[in-house]
Amino acid sequence: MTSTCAERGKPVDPRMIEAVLGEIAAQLETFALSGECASIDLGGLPFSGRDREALDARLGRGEIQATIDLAGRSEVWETGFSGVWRVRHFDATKIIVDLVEIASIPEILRSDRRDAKLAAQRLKAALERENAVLAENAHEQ
Amino acid sequence: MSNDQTLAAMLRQRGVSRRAFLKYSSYVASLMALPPSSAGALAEGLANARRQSVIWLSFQECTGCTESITRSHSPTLENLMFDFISLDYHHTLMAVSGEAAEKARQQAMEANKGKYIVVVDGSIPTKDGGVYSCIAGISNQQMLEETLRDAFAVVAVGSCAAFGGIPKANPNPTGAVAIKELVGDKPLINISGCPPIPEAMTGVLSYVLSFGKLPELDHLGRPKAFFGETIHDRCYRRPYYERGLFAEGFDDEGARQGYCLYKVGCKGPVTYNACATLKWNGGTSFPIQSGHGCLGCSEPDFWDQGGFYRPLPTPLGAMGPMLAGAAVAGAALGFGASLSARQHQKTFLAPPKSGEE
Repeated sequence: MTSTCAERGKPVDPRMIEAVLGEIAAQLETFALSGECASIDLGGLPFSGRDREALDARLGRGEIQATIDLAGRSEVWETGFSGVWRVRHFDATKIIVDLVEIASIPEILRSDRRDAKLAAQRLKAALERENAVLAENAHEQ
Repeated sequence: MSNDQTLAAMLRQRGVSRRAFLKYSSYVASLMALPPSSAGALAEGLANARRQSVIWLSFQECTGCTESITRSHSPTLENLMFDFISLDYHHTLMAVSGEAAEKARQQAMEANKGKYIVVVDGSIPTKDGGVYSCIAGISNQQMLEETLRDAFAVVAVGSCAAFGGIPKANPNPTGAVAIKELVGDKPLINISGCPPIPEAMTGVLSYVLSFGKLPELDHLGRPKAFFGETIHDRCYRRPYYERGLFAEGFDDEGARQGYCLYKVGCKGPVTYNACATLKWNGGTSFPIQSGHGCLGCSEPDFWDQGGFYRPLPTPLGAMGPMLAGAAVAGAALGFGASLSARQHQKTFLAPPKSGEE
């Protein structure tokens, strides 16, 4: 649930939700044809928590869900429409970024190759240390 | 921590991946109403930036601006900003004092010539040689001029630094002036407010750090991303205004119903700030949501505009019958009141004439 006490009783605005769904449909069609990704920032729209809940109900849940534990929690899930993702970043108490992403996979889930390069070096160094210890132990025996 | 490393390298040493930049940049892009697609470029800029040296000068101020930025409410994410900058001088927060503190300022200026950012909170007294506020044996004006010499840019945080604020209020006994009067041709960003919204401060610093340039500013030097709309434009009570439904006092039926606070002095229609959207205390509320009108604290000379409870526009007598009519006639006259507020905005924001109190 994302609605707040202040929003209790505030009606959902179906026109706004229809407009956003129309935008998502158009962007998804473009992505399917050309591979061009898109992103919609719901935080920049006059959306209440209840509007977000109504939008998410319309989009449904797909096969993938992920949680990122980095400088606060983040939730990512694919909606019931392939290629349409929801990306939500939280601080301690509330949503601070709320995106609809149209892509194969949201950028935040990808491992950066520069990070991977350093990780490979780190892993290699760890294996070398481990092998050195094993060799030393074997030599002592 | 070294200032020579890129921020990506610095965070990597702590086991933090580049995702941190993407997440932070998505947040800044959202705050500054940048297209979500710009988050990637913002993240790349941040990751490749060096830790930014910041010299924070506090002059005629109350420390509220520092309280605001250090009490920002996304501790896990916004704390990253404090990794991205090297706060080399801030006489309230730094552990050292006296000569050691001043030496730190001099060292930061020397080591980061042409690259450091000067953040100023508080106005500068200029009367009587600036004797009304001195630090380390020199006047505030001398310290500002000395520190600005090799600065990359200046950020005036709070209404005192941006516009003179309360120290400049009539009769301005210390001859207080805004920072813009003394910065010459140095790039200047004003982040007004009493205090400013912490996200506006961190958002602007992140933008400068990522893109190496100033964000788009309004005619008062404020970032349009945070000061592009009035409080009234985004106020959740706006529909009541349009329908001509107003609270007449703080304890009447209108106040209980949550009607528009225009008639009890709300300055929202002439105040540009992001309080109605970003809110305060971790997005909990803002003055209007707590039942009090906006004071207009992010506008120049807000203290001298004739009273916080005096309805816009002044004089009161001119608006009374119109607003009474609006309450009866509903939306049409509410719209009329809106137009009238716009027309009177310039009058309201003009500084009072000499002797007019």
